[in-house]
Amino acid sequence: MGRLAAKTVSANFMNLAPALPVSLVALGYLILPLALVVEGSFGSSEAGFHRGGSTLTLLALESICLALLPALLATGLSTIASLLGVFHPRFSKNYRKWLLVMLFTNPVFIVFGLSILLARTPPHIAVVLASSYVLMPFCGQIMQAGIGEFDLAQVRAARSLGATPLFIAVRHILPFVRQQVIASVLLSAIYAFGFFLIPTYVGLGRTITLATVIYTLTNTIGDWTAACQLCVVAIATQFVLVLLWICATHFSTASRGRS
Amino acid sequence: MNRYRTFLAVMLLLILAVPLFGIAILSFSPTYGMDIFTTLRPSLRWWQELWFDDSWGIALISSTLMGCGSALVAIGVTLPAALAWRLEGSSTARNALLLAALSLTFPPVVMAVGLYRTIIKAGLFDTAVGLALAHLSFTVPICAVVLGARFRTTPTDLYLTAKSLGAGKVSSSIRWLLATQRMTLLGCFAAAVLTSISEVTVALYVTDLAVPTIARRALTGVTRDLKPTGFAALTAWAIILYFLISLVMNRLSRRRATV
Repeated sequence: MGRLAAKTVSANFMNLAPALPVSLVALGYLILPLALVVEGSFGSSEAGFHRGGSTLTLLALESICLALLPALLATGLSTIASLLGVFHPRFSKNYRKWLLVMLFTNPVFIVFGLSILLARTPPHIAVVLASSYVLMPFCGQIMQAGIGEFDLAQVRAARSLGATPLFIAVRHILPFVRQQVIASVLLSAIYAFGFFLIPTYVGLGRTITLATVIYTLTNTIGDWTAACQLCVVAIATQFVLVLLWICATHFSTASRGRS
Repeated sequence: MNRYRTFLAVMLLLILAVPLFGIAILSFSPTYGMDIFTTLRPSLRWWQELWFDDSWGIALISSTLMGCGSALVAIGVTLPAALAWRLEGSSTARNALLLAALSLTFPPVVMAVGLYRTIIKAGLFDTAVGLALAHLSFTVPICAVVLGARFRTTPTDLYLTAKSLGAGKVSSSIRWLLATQRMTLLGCFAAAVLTSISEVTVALYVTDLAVPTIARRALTGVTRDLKPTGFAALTAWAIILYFLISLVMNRLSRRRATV
């Protein structure tokens, strides 16, 4: 009996062992910090930072808008670029190079470059444009991955039957990448939700989002309790976006199944 | 129709490239700002400063070392789980990888606040070790995503053959890895290092002056010193990246053509 139990424990450990290091590390950089943020939000705010529920809701809504708009713009442009790449190999090659260069380019320099280049644009528009530019490599990767799975033989067949590139793009490729479009919009919105350098420097501090308030509270005021409370609000808002993504993916899969 | 497509391609490439070119031109500005566009008096002083100022070199070396350390640890902890998931179909390993990638869905500023509190509690604030550990919060998810995506699309025939011939699990896995995934491991390492070098939010929170990083140096250069040396640094970085990526892409497409 004892030998059997030891054997079962040993077999289970052998199954769990490969997953153990990554789980422990994830515990250290994900669960522990989030738990400390929640724990920190229970203290009393030193700088007397108290915001009413309606103000917080407005702040969260403004943050979501400033994250969703650039996400939509960036996804739209990335979709057009990826679709064009199907019919224009030279463009596709250069576009992929640009995507990779941008993906590994330091965002600080881009933010400050854009803050000078967009100096005369109204702050909200400048923030949307700058955020879209920073999001484009991210959206581009998702769209490229989706369109890369589309069978090019279908494009050649449709072309030989006289279909125009626009018709193929709208009637064949776009329905195929519908899920990737949704994923790109919502995942990049989630990513943009945490931007604070762009609203601070490109928006000249006139566009206030949850992330900028957290940054100001920690770096200028030094009120960590209030910052942690806003972090909890940010996580809750984030969950709304994630929920939206899950629902959209579910409905998209269901409608594809029906069609 | 072809002409319209080319026109659209050129316009899109312009939209993508103009901000980068704008930032490159700013690096030749005689002062901080848009003077270069109005006075047309290019100056090489920021490039000279970039070359002769030791702090940029020190920051780059420090960032690279921390990035390499963080990337190696990230691959080391993610690889066993990815192998167990792909080769043995372990659902525990798959869930561990999902947990590891989860931090990508949280706003960076929230993660930074949580990591700051964790690092403070561990007594590692403003240390290279602390920053390298904090960088695991995005190098591990990147490795999980890259390894997961690449492993999923690679056949496991070689592993099964090696096992059926009597090789053990570990040696079969290593053989499969070396035979099919060398470029994946290299790409994963490069992506983790480059992302670590480009990262700024977490570095802002968990370090002060003792640990120089390239992103922090750029932030100081632009906000405190009001010098466009950073734009010279970005331009140099983007040019180097472009050449490296072009080289790799050309080699890969040539190999694919010969295959």
